[in-house]
Amino acid sequence: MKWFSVLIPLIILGGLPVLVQDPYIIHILILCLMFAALAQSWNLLVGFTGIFTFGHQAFFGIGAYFSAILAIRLGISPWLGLVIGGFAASLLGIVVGIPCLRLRAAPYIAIATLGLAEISRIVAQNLVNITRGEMGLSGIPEFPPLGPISFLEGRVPYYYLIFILFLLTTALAFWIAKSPLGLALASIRESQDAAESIGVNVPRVKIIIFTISSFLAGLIGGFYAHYILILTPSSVLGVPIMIELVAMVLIGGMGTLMGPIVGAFLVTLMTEYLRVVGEYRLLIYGAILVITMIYMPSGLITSPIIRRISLITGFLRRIVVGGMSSS
Amino acid sequence: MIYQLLEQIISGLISGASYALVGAGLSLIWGTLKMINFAHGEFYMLGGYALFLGGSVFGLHPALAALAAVLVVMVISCVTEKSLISSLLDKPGWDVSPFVITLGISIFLQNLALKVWGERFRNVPYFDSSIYEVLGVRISGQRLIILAVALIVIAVFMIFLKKTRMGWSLKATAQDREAATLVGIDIKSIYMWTFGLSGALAALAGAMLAPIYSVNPWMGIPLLIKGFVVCVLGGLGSLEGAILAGFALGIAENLGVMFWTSEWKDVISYSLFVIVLWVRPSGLFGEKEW
Amino acid sequence: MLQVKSIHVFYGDVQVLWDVSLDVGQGEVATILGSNGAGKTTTLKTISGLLSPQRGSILLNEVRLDKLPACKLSSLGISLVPEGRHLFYNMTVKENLLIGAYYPQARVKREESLDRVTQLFPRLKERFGQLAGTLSGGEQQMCAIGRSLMAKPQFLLLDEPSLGLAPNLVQTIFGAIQMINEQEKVSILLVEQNAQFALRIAKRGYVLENGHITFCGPSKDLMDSKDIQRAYLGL
Repeated sequence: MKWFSVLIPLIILGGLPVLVQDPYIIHILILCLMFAALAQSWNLLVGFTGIFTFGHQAFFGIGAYFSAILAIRLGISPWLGLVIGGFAASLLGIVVGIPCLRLRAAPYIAIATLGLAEISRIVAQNLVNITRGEMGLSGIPEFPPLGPISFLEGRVPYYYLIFILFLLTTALAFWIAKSPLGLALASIRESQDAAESIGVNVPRVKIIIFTISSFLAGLIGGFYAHYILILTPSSVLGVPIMIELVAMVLIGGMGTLMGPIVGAFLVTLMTEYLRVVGEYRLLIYGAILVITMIYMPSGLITSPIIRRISLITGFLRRIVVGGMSSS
Repeated sequence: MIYQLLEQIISGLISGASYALVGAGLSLIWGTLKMINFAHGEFYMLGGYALFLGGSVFGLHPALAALAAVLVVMVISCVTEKSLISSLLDKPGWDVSPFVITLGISIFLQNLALKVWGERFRNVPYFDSSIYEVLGVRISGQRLIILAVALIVIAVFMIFLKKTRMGWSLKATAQDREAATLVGIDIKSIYMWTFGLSGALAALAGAMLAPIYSVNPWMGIPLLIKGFVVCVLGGLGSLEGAILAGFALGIAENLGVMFWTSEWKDVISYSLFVIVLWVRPSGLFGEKEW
Repeated sequence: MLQVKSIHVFYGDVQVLWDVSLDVGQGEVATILGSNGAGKTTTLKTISGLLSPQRGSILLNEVRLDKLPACKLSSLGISLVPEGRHLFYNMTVKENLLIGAYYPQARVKREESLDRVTQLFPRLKERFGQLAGTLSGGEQQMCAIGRSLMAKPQFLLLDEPSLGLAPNLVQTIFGAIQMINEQEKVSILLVEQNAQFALRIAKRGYVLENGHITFCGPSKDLMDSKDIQRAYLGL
């Protein structure tokens, strides 16, 4: 990956809050970055390892609820709560991962993880004394100030926080992809039997990646709790989140590193734009899933159309960079 | 106490009948096409709406409306398979692609129903409003009809599978596609009919339950989940297993309500099904292909 | 008369058969010899329609086969006994045989065909009610051949029928194949690694190496050829 094709978007993203003042747009971008990180965390399971889980929202929601409840009930700082939420999510991740050690066929894994996620949602819904159920857990504190930076005015600090989380997740994903772990994951994805026969400790590797993936999701969930300041089981533990993640990774390109990021931005922006269209939004959503699956099953990143476009943009980029260096 | 128990068991048999129908359809598709149809609940939903249209809009006699509903949804299922699913078959990524595409179809159908008929629950009149007494328990005629029809349809279906050429083709295709082709079976056509039959079963359940629960765009979602639970408990790929598990789940759920509150009911059935997946993935009767 | 004319077959982008031509006359037994990976199974799969040739054609009594869907071929008189048998393991032996007579004309003659198959393989009759998956290797092979015969084929294609069988069973199977040819008047195209047996019952033979036909001629010539003897007969 050419360094400038990574750096330039990062610089743009990093500088955006300076250029854009509209809080609504900042909010959308926060969601984009958040989903990009969340989608990437799921990509570790589905794209890297080939384990198609359908309950990733549980890790996100558990992280959110733990961090929120700890802050409200025990006064624990959200900064700490974030990490504790991550750990709680990774514990759930291990619980979810264990049945997936034996199950191989994708449909079994999908419905098993769906079942576990739904259990966590209903439990959260029923334990009204702790979570306030569907009435909503409100009064979640914002992040306490980091030195001079206050999280009480405006969204910009939140933007940079999620930007950092996004960078962390992406960097981790890149690093894993190039590491021996990444190789082990890829071998499991291609053939579990072959992986075992070359000495990969498949159960151990699976548990490791479940732990990492769920921890990241929990972390992001914790962020969300202290950003949005109100939680309900259906909003953070519901299947719609999972459906969005599937759409993002699918449209962006499963198994690639940039795919989940591109997909997250695209789907989040599209969802917002379609909000204008209102009633037809989800209808179009469903149609897009179907059409993508038939015509672009490996996602945008790898499809021939985009290849052609990226050739053009690559050409343009060379002109821009060439122009910059000569001045 | 005995009266309560009996009431719950009979009630359970009746809700179990619809689970059995829905589960059988899902199991059929899994066995023959080796895929999960995430839109299965929506065929149930369409069955309900088709009955609503047939009865309230076209003024058909309930039995006729139900039959029409089943046939209409059967056609829709066949068309769906032919146009969308068959292009994915035998292509790489088959273990995941049907899940995603049927997910998309599911979302599309739910929101199409929402757009066309709105979010209001629509009422459909009972086929038979009288109350009967069976073994000392009072049951509505509607519920008895559901049980009777479901049992008859299931019996007919099992005979169909065992005795007819088409039924044999279905079983053969499920067991070995290549061998089925060599013997002369047109497996593409079998795939389409499998979808059609599965949709018909779901639509039948939807049409019969519509008078009790009314019709709304999302009525298929809980049935889909129940369908999964039933298929897993009975063993994915085993039709008999799914049917038995359907009745068993219905009875277990209703008996369970006697012991714990209804809000925990689903947690119990999901936990059961996750445990079964963990401990014995092949379920009660299923094959060892997990 | 079965004619394969210059077929080129690909798996995706990878070519596996180059310019393969062969023919089997009415009432003949012909064999294709070759080591693993030579392309023998691919050839049979292409003839029976499971694969499509990129170039070339396949004709049965002047009728083009290669453009037809695979499921049509059994009603035209071609029946393949695939490598690995591919029985319906959760169906009984009797059900496997009965479903072999799938297309209407064969179905009408079902009972009669069943009798002839059980005459040929008496052991199968004893196993009628048993699930095909529980049979021994030899019995499974008999069942697979029997199932193909139920379709009343003109041409029977056999893919390595002796694979994995004990020597005495190999005798039985090959004896049955000969009987099928002589008594039922079915033409046979036999793919085998066991060249000794194959050349004994076949009139003509082909040798397939790396997707190319390298030798074709009467069995006697093949048996006498020093190269063949070295490569396939272990001499």
